[in-house]
Amino acid sequence: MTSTTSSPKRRNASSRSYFAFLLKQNWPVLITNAVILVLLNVITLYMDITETEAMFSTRESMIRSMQEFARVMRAINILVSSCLAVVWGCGCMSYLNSKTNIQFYHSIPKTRISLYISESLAKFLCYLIPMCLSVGLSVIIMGVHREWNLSVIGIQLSGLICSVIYFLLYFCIMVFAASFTGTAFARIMNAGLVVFLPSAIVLCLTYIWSYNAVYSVHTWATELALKIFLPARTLMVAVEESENVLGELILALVVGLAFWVLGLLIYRFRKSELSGTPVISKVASAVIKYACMFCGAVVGGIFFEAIAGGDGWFICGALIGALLCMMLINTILTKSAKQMFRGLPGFGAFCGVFLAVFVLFGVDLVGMDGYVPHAAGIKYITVTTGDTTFRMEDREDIENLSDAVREYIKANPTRESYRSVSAIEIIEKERIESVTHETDEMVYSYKSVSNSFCYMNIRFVTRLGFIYEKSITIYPAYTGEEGAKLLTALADAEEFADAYFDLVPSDVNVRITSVNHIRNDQMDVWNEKGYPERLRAMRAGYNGMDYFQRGTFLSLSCRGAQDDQWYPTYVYPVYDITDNEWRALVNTISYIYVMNNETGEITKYEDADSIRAICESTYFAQGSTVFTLLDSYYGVYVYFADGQPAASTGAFVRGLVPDFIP
Amino acid sequence: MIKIESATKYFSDVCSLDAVTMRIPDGSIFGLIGSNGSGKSTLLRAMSGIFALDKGYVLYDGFNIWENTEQKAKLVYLSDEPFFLPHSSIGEMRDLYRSLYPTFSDTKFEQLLKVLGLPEHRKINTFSKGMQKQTSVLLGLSVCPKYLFCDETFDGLDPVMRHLVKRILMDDIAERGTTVVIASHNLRELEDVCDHIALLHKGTLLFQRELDDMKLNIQKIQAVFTDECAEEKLRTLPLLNLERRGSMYTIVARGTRDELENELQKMHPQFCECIPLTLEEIFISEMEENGYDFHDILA
Repeated sequence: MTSTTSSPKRRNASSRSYFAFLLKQNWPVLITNAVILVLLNVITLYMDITETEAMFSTRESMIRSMQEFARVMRAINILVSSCLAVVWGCGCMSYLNSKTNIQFYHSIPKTRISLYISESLAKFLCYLIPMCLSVGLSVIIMGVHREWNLSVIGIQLSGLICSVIYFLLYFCIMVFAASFTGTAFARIMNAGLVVFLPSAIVLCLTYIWSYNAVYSVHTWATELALKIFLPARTLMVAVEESENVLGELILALVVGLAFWVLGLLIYRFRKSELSGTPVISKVASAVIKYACMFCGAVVGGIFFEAIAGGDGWFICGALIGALLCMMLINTILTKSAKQMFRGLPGFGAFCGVFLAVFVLFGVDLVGMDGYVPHAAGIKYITVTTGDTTFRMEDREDIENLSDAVREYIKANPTRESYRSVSAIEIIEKERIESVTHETDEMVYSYKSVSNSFCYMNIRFVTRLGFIYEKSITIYPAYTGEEGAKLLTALADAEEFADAYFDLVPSDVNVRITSVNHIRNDQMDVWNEKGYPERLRAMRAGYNGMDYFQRGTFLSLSCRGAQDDQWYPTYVYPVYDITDNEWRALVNTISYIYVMNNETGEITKYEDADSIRAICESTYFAQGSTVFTLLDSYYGVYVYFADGQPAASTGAFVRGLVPDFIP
Repeated sequence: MIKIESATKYFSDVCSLDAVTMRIPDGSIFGLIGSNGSGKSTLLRAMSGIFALDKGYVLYDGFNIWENTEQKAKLVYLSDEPFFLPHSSIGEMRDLYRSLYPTFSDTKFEQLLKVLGLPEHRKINTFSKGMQKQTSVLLGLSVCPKYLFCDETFDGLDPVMRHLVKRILMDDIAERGTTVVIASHNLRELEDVCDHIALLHKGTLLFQRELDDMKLNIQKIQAVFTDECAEEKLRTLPLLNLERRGSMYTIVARGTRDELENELQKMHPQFCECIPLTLEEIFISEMEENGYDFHDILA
């Protein structure tokens, strides 16, 4: 037996001819893409330019507006490109869904590789050409309006590249799904499963693992799942934050091409007679079925647990969820509702394995929740407090912190320990009875009286690469010396000092007035210089730009770390001496309670000097920022003469605790 | 020559082709017959490179057909359900075939289009089933293939058009020496076009013969005898079938025409004439000799 291939020259000529025919056949795709993309990029840009020309008097403002517009359009382009990829991906190699069609295509003098490449490339070109055309036209329109700006063009080009890569990613996934499916519906379903199922499985596993955990969390697993299995999401985040875009682009491209090549390999050996079969491989069918059943089980469990509560209901919901999923998947895979109960023995085995996994990890028979690895085996620790994450590699610090965490968990094995009632409850009784804020409700449910707490996420990475992640919330009033020791171990670490900088302004009378002031070291348009420009824009109905954004009520936006990332965290002063209204109100403050959260000692201050001094140093902030910005060891409760609280419970800015406070 | 060696194909657990081995000479018109599910279409698809065989191979002049574009360019497979691009006209389909087959002949296309009288610019999905079959034949023959495989191609054609299509096929074969393989379950349809016949049953090749050989060795004779002992004498012949209506006997017997006529003349018939055998009669005879009940096979 011999085999041969046609001469390359003749083969190439035939391939070119067929490819030209395919392009010609795909003219509706090309036209549709062109209409959508030109409308999206060219027409909207033209409208924006004509609108903003009337709105702004300076070129600088105009450019800023266009930059903002280009960023928005970049995000929309990515979204639209992804949708186009899914739609056109459905139509690519649609002959695989029909027995008649596949017989024709597999009998013609084209190899499967040639068919696969031609079909994919034709559809891709029908997207790429109009996309490039629309961006090119956008640049020309900017030139015509004399608004050429390299930064705007740069954003547009980056949008073009990102959109093309997004298109490729989803298109390749669709083509990959096509290679092992034989019906149009199954192709869409399988493409969805390829995109979301791995992440869903990891998230479900993480949920079970964390089901009864007090301290163990697996955000690392979630992050990993999303990063590895949802490259599109990671890329989107990178584009929005302009961080490591190139790396993420390359990753998305590699993932997309990997799917495409995998699809080609499967198609190369795919049996023609399997067209019309939802999934051509029995192994793939089984994987899809049991993976969906697992996710369905966890979702069902969560649903029942949320409604009725309790492990029993979780199990009950899980079994019902798995059964429903099995019925649905069987119906889809066999294209017959009569087959919905097919594979009941497999279902039984699945239930057994699920229960075993739940008992082993969900109920934590192995005691993973309280386990903290020994310092000698830890490579490094990452700690997240507030909005900042820092890494500890110093051996002494690692030892101190791991010991402190271990002792803390040992002393507080369950959350029940927070249920002790403090004497402070008497002071805060009225507040507890009228809780409205979510955090207050949470605190109330634990019968705590102070919403002052420190949340931290500590991730121990061992030398072997295992990750043990603990989430700890310290209520200084109730966690006793173990909590204090843990906070001290953290604050004393060298890396902590490096990561956080002194948050106390050198001159407390110099107030930072806006986000722009901190971010860009310049006053924003709220000031006198910028006001007319903003007013002009507002009259033209132009809203929603960051450029005009300003924190509510003399906000202080703080930088959490020294990595040039700015976090718009608002910390509100309880009392602001620069504000006329508050200056008047301060006279109405009758007394202030200051509680030492660690010892529970309460001191009442009634004299005007003390009240003023405390107010000048007291802020309140939202939950988890407390440890980063404010001193958690004190709670400040300000009351008017009529006994009504003047503000939410405050805390002193770190390092600004007045000397007279014990 | 097409050489099929131990071709075996399974669909799940069902064996559709069971070690089929056959030779199809160049320039022949080869009829594949068998009942529904006998494996005719599967064999044609394997020969066209659509199905990968689980065992065995199909060779064209010594070259394997699987993923072999050079060999595939020489063949056209006309499916029982013809393929057309969605909402396409004959003109668009011509463009497709022209882009795929370097041997596509526009002259031939125009010529056949005229003969068949099909509208070039009307959407094919508005055509009747018969017109669609004609279109597929038109496109297939315009490629000027060396090998043409027709799967139930004459189904759905009216008698006049069936005759016309057959004539077109014959002309093409005569002109270019095309090798045609026709799969059908209808013996009468094949008998006036095929020169070779293969019978498939449950995926197995029962036999393959040249039609002329078969016809030369089996004769059908009608004879009239007044002698009451004629039947007894006739039974001395190598009979395959004997029917009597009054004094007229219809004899199907093995042997050459001359041999049988000489033997009959010795019995002094009042009248004796050799009449043509239908393909069905030949098959009945052959199958019965092989121990099969033909009516069970071609039900």
